[in-house]
Amino acid sequence: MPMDKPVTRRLFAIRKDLLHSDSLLAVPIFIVVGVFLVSLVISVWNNIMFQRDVREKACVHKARAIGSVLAKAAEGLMAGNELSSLRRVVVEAGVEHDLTSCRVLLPDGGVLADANPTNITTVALPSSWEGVAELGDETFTDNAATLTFPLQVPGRGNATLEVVAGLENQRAAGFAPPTAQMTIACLALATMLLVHRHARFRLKAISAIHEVLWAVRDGQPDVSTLELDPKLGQEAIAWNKLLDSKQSERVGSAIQRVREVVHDRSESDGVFFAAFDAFPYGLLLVDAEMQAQQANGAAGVLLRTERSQLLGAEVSCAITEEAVLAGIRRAVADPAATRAVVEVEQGGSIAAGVLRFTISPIRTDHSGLALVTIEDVTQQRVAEMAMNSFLAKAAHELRTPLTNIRLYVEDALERVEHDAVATSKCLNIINDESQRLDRTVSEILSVSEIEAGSFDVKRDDVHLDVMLEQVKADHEPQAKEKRITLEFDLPPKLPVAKADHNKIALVLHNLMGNALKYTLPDGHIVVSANAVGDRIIVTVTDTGLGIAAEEFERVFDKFYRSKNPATAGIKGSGLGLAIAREVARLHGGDITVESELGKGSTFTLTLPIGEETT
Amino acid sequence: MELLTQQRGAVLVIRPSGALTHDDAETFKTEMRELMRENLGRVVVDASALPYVDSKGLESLADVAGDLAQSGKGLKVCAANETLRQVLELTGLSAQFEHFEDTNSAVRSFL
Repeated sequence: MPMDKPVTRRLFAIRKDLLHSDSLLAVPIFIVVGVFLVSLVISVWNNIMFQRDVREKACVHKARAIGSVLAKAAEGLMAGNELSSLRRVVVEAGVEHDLTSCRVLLPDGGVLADANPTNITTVALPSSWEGVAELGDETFTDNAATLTFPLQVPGRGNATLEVVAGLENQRAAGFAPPTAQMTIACLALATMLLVHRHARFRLKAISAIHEVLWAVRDGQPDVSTLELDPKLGQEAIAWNKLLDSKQSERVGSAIQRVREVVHDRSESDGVFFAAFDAFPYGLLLVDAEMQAQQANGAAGVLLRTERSQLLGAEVSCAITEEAVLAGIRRAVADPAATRAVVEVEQGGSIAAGVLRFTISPIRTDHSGLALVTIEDVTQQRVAEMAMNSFLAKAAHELRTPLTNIRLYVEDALERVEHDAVATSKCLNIINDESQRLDRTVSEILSVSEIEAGSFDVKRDDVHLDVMLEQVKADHEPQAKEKRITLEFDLPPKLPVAKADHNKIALVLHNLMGNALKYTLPDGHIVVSANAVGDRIIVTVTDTGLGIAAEEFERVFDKFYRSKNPATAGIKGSGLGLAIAREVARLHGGDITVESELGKGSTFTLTLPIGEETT
Repeated sequence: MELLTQQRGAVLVIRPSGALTHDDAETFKTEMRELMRENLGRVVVDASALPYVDSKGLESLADVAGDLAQSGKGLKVCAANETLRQVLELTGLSAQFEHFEDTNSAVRSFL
């Protein structure tokens, strides 16, 4: 754990470890048992020390008692000159009481009696002897206690009884049971460690499942993140299988629902009606009473009602257009009626939708029926209108420079003989108009490619920061000429976008060109770029003429020119922004505008970085 | 998840931005149904910004496709990434959708 980790985070980690991790059971149990075992070890050690002390004291006490009794007996036996009895008593005392040594010494050091008879140095008991015997004493070493008792033999002299009791055996005898306890405690501790280690491993999977359940409770929607590492054990594998089965079950139910919609109806209504419903055009079978005998799903959608509400109801409830109703009436009532087609603009405009009703009379023996086919032709009409408008505007845009070229060519031809200056001026204008014509034709071609769907986007690495620097360099001379301040506010680094290099360059040049075109001398233009999430946002803000709010969307229409009188003298095809927006949208982005008349405009290009698109 | 819309002629291009999962699925389904009703089904789902779809998301897509299937149409989806295409294939839902490489192709299919 890093030393600089905040205390609160450490505490949180400990809390998490204790409450939510695999230590939920293992760690507290381990701590309790560990404390118990350590207490046991300390207790056993104290017991060993105590036992040792008690046994030593008991041993010394015993030796002292034996010595006292033996001293009295020795005095009597020596006084009665019963040396052999003395020696037997000493030997028996030594053997019976497990003494290390037991002997009777004369003051001159001679050994009169000994538990080990081979150590005897004075064979016969002298009638008397000189010398002072040692006083009673007790000396202790690590391994033995030596006790001496003074003997006074009347009429003969003083002697000494020496008793040596071994302490090692006593200690060993006292040490054995606590050592066994200690060994058991240590083995228990080691076993506990092994159990803890095993339990910790086994609890990892359960702990991981616990964590995942908490994530589910907190609203984690991504099922893929709920899967566990199979290495965690059988529990994790079982959990993953459970997730898989649940996922399959949910997907299966979704598939089933779609199948029910698509297929099951065929079982109840028959194949014919299933095909009727699978028809992408609305179909209505109307009888002579102007009631719908049959209707398919598409009819319900196109007439903005429910299929069930159409069946058996008056068709006038769903179709309000009188021309259509008249056509149906004629079809069911007039034997001579032929197929009729009526197109209806809903809400009075193409944008709201155009429906084509094809009314076909069906003759039967008894009555007339009408099959009404309803087709949504809105997109076709919108496309036709757009194409017509495009052709008209394109013709106009091409005619204007062509007319200028023709007029100035005629003028130049008239003046070429006598006015070189005027001729030169005409040729310059012809050159400018030719270039304008060339640009317009290129833009029209781009638009036609967009309309045809062949306007390809070739994605490559685009360094927008580098591209913007190039845009700046390209437009600086023009800005300087109009005394317009150009400011580029770019971050140190922009992410590399997956985009079409040439087309994005075209967009930036169009935005920059427009800003310069519609900003008056001494104005100011700011270009900024930033990465926001998975997008790059480029804004071009000018202090130009501005755009009225009602024209915000229209400026992106093809060939649209602003109605602001202040822009009347500014040349342009009206295709630049339309192409720029189309390019942005083909990349999954967009261009929007915010503006205020007389104050300036901000065009915002949003471009996905595009890593996720394939 | 965010639903961005662009009108392309008479066709509405709907671009879900972000993963289509759990809580978003119901909102997505509701909004899609409303937009399809308003546009008489002239709707394209631009899946270029749809990184993945979970089971709930699949259910919502299946429900929307089911609605369109009732009027004999398929849900037009364009620019779906490989993962999404595989998921639709593996779950057998692919047949309920019309797939296009880009929005232009999808929009032109209404002509």
